[in-house]
Amino acid sequence: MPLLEVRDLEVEFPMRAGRLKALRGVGFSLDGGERLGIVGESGAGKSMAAYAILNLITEPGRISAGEISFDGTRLDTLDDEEMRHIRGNRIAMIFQDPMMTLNPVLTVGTQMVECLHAHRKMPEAEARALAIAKLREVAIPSPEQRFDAYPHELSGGLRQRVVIAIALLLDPAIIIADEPTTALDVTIQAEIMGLMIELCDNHRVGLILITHDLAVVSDVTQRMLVMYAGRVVEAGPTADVIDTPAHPYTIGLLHALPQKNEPGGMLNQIPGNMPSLAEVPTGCAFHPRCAHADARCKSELPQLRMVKERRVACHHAEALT
Amino acid sequence: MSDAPLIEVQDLRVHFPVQVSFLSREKPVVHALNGVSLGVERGEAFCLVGESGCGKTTLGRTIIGLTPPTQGDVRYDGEVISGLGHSDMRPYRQRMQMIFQNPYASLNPRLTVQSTLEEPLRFHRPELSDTQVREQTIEVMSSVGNDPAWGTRYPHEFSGGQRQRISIARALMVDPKFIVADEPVSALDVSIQAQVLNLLMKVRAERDLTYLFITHDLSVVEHFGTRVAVMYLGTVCELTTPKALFEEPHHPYSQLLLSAIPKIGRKNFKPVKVPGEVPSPINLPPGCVFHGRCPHANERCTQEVPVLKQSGDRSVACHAVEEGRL
Repeated sequence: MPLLEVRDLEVEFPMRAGRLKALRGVGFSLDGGERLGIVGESGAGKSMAAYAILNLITEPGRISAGEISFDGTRLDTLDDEEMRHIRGNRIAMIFQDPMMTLNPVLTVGTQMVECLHAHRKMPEAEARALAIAKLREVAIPSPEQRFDAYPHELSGGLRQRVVIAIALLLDPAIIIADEPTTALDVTIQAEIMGLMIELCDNHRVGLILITHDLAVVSDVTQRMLVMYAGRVVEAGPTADVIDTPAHPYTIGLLHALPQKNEPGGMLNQIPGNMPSLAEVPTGCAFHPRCAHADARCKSELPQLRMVKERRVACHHAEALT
Repeated sequence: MSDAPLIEVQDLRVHFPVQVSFLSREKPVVHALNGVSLGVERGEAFCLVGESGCGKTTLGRTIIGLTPPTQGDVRYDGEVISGLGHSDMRPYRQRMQMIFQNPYASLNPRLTVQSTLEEPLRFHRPELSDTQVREQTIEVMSSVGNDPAWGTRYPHEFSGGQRQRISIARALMVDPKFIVADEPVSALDVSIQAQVLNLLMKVRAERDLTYLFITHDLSVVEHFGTRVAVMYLGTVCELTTPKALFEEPHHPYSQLLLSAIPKIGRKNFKPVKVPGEVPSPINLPPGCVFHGRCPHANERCTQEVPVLKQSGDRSVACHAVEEGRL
């Protein structure tokens, strides 16, 4: 049984005009020590899928269907008190902007010790020693001094390392990272990504990496999901999906990258925009932007099915691969 | 039209004072640009790359006259334009326009698209009649791929890609020759990025434009640029064609930067180790600004500031390259 399994997950928000479905049936699984990437453009629902796992969806949004099981426990039916034992403890989360995660008026050390005391009973000195050990583990130079520093005294790269150290404090089984390097420069991004791969390997931590950057997913993850308008449209081993994409949307995304085009020529582009979640097209949500769409695509919703070692939600997947 | 490059900057320095306690006698400054010299030829898509704080945006803003230089000149078509007064600057402002990164912040939310587009034209060419102004907006709107009938709408009614098209249209309204585009696609999704980059290439060909393209995305440079300057802490460390840079970066910082970019579809990815951090631009290190992080630094690098030396189609500011150690 996989460590984490999400099945047919739906998330909806009640609106004046009816219900808005942010997730429309999402399923995936994650094993211990595995690195999974979720890619998609803004509004595809990639963050929503991750937030739903930890029940972090803001009211009045709610999980309206589906199951989330983690290590034998159903997460979607837990009450707040039970969820608190999972959140930050067994499953940790890293957000995009380290300055939003860290409290600016508390020192790094206070925040780390606070987190330890919330979940474990341990003496002050022991908590301090553990926190410093974690700071050292994420390769922060002179961790004893950084322990007493305020977040503003650290550079962007160091701040994100502190956030990772906090996520690792309680030895979680899974880390969910939502665009962890988008706000960072490329050289710092390279270091943070290298660090995360190393930590996942050493501690057998499962990683869910949410990003819009296909190159980062390609470098870091072993499996990936491509999301579009609240659904998974393609899922499989990262190298396969990148080398031979099967869904027209994945193909379009990869072909739009400057690296995949002749320098100086026109880039391949996907016409149109991602639909608003309030008016998702009938049938396959991608059909108005798809060159292969026919009458069936307009009326019938394609289900994920196995095509050559991966799952694809497209009526024409066989013909396209 | 002279033979001079369209845009030329010489030994450009920009320092910003930092506020410290009013009792303090120190007057620290941020060294945003430390002696940048380069020329942009007509018809180029000249790219500036580098990490945050390297001065690429400051250089773009100084060229266009939004930030006054502390020292050095900016020339447009051979004429010095830095230090000109408002009315002397006005004809140049019409020829030089800017496109900003965030189309959510750069469009006035209270103005309709029509008023946003008309404003620069009415300012620079007050002699035009209402009909002429309207004709120009229709022409520009269609050339950026927006429906001219959208004129009565407000920015919040559009998606990010459509808004960026509107800011491009606004820049094109006054028929400029030179456009500074500061990270114009960074805030957009991948599929929309391709649409906007294609549009920028199309209007460049149609309208004979010259671009200064500021970006941190090296794949965009490789695709789009005619020449590229790699910047680090307010200095240009390497200036060459994108092809030459990607095939073989010479400056140690260019090498570090290129090794750090994630690449699509490469097997057995090895994370790079990046030595140290970017020093503070308030207390610049002496000598080469990169020496503290450079594996090839020697005594000379810690004392003497390297200058750009040209050889073939590339200029590099590095003692190690010059001495043949690299």
